[in-house]
Amino acid sequence: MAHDLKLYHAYTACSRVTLTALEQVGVPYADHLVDFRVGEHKQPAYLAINRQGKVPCLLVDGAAMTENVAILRWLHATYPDAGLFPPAASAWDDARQLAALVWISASWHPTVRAVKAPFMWTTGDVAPVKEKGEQLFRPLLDQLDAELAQRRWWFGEQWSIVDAYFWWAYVNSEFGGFDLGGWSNIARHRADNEAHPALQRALAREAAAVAALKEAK
Amino acid sequence: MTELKLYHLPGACSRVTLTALEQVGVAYADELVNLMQGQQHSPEYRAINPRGKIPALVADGKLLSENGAILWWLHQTWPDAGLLPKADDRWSEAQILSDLFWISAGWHPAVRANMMPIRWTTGDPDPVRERGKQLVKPLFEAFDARLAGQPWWFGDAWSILDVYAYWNYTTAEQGQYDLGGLDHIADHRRRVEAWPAFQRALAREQAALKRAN
Repeated sequence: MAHDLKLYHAYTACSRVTLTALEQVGVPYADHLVDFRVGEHKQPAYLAINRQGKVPCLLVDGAAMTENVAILRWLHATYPDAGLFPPAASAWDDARQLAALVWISASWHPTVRAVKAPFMWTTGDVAPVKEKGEQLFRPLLDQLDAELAQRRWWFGEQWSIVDAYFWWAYVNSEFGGFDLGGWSNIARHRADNEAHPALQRALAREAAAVAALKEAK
Repeated sequence: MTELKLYHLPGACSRVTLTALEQVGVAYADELVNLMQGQQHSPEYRAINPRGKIPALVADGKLLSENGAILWWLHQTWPDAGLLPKADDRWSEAQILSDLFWISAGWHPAVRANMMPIRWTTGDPDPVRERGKQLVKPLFEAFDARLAGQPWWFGDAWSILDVYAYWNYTTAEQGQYDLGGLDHIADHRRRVEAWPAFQRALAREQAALKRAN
């Protein structure tokens, strides 16, 4: 059964990962760029769709799914042949896959936020929050780099959406002026991700949405 | 039978994992990792969990880290324990995951800004705690409103998310967040504290503390 899909996303947000997943699946979908700069995410029209006012939010046949990980898992369960995740032979393998997603969403993402947008974590001076964010971020990069020294992608020889999620997280730190030089396996992983067709199509889709928004103004 | 061992710290979010194990009712070992003494960075603990975090579950010698993943595995392995609602289809399963991830990735880091603002700054913790209050306020208010019509997170039946939510709001309270006025949460708190598996988890924490001292 074909689903009617619509993704709400924002420029450079972690919805880039969700866009990549949709492109990897290859089904048609609509998308709407939520303009955070004008506070569209706090306006009644968007809150009626997602009362948390966050992105990504995927409408499936009119019903909303929030939280990136839940959306990625639903897409994988619904389109198992797209290769978003490797096949899980047991509940243990499945939980190990989930553990990578928890690590990114609950540890990497809030830490990258401190580096990229330290004002999100303070009502005061942003400099010490950014500094702390960088202190927390380096060991995460060390751990990922060590893992990627052993294999090309997170799960081995095959790309998965987890790779796009890591890519999004470390690239976002650069928007906060963080220097990723010095993590050579991550640099290689980054280049591999940026050559991945679904990621390229996702970025093109995002750019088209940004251009359309500018056009409309 | 699976041999299980949980690495935890009393009062940390591993309290939720302990409650899940108690709810499941299987035998398990547990060991306290003293974060205050930096034990998570010791070579002994890094050999168990290279990320140096708790909770960490070792099942038949294999490591599973990250609370959300451990809870999910326990639920998948013992589906009749009632840790999470039974999902009828992929959609409802993803909605349950959505709630689990909302708490672990949305609530928990914000609560940390309340309880441990020094985790988010090298400077003055006060403006971070202040921001933490701003961030958790709408979360707790929404949960309070949800509880107006139902006793538990998912409705009429207890789930482990009740304990996870409880851990978040009580931890924020320890970080000076005032839960006053959130009457439905106050009732929820009493229900969670009366829940047998939760009480056994607290007793288990106390026993681990005694062994460590």
